[in-house]
Amino acid sequence: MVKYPAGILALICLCGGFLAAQELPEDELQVTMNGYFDNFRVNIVYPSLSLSKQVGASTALNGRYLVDVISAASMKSAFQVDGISSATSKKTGGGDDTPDELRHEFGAGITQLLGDGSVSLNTLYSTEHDYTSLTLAASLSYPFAKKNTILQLGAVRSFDQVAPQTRSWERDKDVTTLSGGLTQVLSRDLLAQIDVWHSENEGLLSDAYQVVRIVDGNTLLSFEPVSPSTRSRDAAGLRLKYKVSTGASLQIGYRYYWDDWDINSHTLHGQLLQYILDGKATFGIGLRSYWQTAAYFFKPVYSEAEEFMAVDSKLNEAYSGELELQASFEGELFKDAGFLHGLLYENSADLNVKLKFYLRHTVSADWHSRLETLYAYILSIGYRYRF
Amino acid sequence: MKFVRFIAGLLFTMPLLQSCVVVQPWERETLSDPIMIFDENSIDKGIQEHHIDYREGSSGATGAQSGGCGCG
Repeated sequence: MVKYPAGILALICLCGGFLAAQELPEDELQVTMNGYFDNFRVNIVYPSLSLSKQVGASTALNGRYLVDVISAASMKSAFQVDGISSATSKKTGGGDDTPDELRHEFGAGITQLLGDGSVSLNTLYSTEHDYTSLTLAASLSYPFAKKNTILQLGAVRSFDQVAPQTRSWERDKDVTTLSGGLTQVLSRDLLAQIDVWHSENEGLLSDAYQVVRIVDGNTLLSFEPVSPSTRSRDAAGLRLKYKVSTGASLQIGYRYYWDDWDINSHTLHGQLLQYILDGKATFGIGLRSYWQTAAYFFKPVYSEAEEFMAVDSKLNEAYSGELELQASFEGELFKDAGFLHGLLYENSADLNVKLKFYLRHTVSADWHSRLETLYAYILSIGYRYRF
Repeated sequence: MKFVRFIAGLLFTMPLLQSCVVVQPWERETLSDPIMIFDENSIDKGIQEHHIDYREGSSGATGAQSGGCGCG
């Protein structure tokens, strides 16, 4: 099971950049190869393919496909489940040299211009052997004040079904998310964006593959984690983007998050983008810092069974940091580059490379790895072809 | 309900923001530069932030243009 991130889908179709309220997505094909590798022995490769195409003057369609391939390395545990991604082996296979889990994701959507604004409808279906998810999303983007202000509203509803192979039951999880954003021009070189987000979660909200262990005398008892069946989540963020010179921009942002499980978090983020190579390439560096409190029912160790029990590290008190390096190269740079000539130069395509280093430290050891610090490398190589 | 009130607040402030407009369409050359776009590649951002959703307890409000479409 790779738990499906319904939360992020709240923003699924609020696509496009500043002043995009009245613009359709470009005709383009994106092929990306992503990899995630951490010290908890989780290795994930997830290639993706997405396509958008305008049909007529005011309509655009999009489609996408993504697959998660989780390596056998993440399965070498006594519990036969990965504590981070909850990856579980397939009912067949799952040997050391074969992928333990595959998740397929299919998406489709339409964007329609309406007056000065646009409306988008999207759907997403994700399936794996023990988890399915169907998501429906709608959004509205509309400019005001001679396009100096853009209002964005979004609504997402997802329907998940969980059928853990280690349990005899099947349960549902439903998520409704509303989001709003306001982008404002503050000067000729300064933009601001305010985002608000609210999510109502209901159903199975714990990870069915995790195990709560309680020592009772000489006996080790194992329990399923039990979370409240509802969760109300809120977040608000502010971002600023400033053109610091003719070839560079600086973005800073802050987000505050709170929910009724008593998790509160602060996130700070900064990113510098700089044109290089006569403007034919862009280099970027980003930093992110994050702090969160623990859920009120989380305990690293339980001495007796309680109404709610959770050992999931993401519900623990923690801080994390991330460093991101990125570079984007225009196809023109590859006119003398062998086989890349045809792929990039002739097609006027872009090549994008990103490398991230992520570190998370929890105040107590992870239930599964017994480590307090997780660090991971995330690599992405993408090909973007506009036609 | 709090969220609805917040959205109502946003809508209420819009007339105020309109009165703050100082940048005309022909003055936006700087703002139209690709490096001035919040999350220029929204699909890529959704994929790139995917790992965070599994490792931290919070989510949301990371940008109205974020999310993207692939959630690997």
